[in-house]
Amino acid sequence: MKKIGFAMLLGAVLGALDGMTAWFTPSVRDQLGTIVMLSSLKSVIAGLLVGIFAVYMKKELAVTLFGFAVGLLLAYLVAMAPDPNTGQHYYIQIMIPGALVGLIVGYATARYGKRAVTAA
Amino acid sequence: MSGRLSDGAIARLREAVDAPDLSATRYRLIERVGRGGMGSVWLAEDAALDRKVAVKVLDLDDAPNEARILARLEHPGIVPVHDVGRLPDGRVFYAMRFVEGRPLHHDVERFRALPARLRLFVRVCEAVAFAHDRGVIHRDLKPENVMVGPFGEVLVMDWGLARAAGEGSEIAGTPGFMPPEQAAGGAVDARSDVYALGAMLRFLLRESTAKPLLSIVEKAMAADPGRRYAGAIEVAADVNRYLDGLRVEAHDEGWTDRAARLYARHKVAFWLVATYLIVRGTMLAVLGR
Repeated sequence: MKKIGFAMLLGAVLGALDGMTAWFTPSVRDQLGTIVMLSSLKSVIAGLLVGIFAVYMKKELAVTLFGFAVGLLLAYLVAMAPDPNTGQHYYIQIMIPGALVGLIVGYATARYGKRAVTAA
Repeated sequence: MSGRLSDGAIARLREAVDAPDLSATRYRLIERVGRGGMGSVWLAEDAALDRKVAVKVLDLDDAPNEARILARLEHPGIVPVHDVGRLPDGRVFYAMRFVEGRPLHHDVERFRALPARLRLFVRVCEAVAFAHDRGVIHRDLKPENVMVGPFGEVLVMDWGLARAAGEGSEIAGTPGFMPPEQAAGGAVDARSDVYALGAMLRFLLRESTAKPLLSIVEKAMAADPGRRYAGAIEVAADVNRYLDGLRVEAHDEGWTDRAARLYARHKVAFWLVATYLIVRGTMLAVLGR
């Protein structure tokens, strides 16, 4: 259970940081709070799935790739919703960072999650 | 026809004369496998248990110190003694487990990777630490006295010079591995073996110039015993710290050493985060979000 908690916490932090990069885009700066919250929620869900997977799968590479796949899938679901102001979809802008955050959560859970459990 | 015997024939005759008479024992002699300053070692068959054993025959006729010490040291890294007896000619012998391996100094090339050699060294330290815990100091630790089995098992051999901790004794040991206090005939303790372990680590490092490992060697081989590690387990702990990418206690690392160590330990995580930052930065610069 602690491994799952580790993955969710890391997902929340990285998701929030990823969402905060929206500050650099003036056109969406007024929606920053919502973006950070949704990005964080997306990564918490990714963390939950990665954590559950990591409890049963001991191979570091498999957990890392699972994190990548989950991050990519959840980011795709988010990217399906168009920008309310322009109606545009930002698939690349959302999916690539989302997949990378999933990759990092997957690797960190496999590599450091075990240590967190042992230390607890 | 020449009246002179060849060197080989002389060697065979010498071996036949030297061969112990084990007829009154349960051991059947096979061949001689070694010869040291205190006696010879023979490969024999234990007829009762149908297994090969090493029979060490001492040139002395007093009770074997090594056998008594080994009997106190039951550890997977220390060769066990099965039996002790006396030959008809008065010489003492004892039967030990026959280790089908090669001495470390001949087998070191099998462990090409430094971490493999360091893990092997840690196992030597653990066996020596066990002996220290039982109050025994080996006094002749060197690669020749560590046997490595075909499955990587490690056994510390040749406890013929071993003494109780704090005991003074005759000057004996191997130059290069013998600490100054032992060379001077002074009292020895666990730190005397620590010196030899430092010399053994230096041998195992070979071409490696890793500063933390050299610091471990330097601390273990300090001329003043008070500046060395307190025991073998402390040496092993510092080597394990190096293997785990942690800070080695013997090494006073600067910030560049620390950064290099942390980078080596978390290389993949570093590059994953760097990739994310580069991709994010590029997207902000090129796509505007």
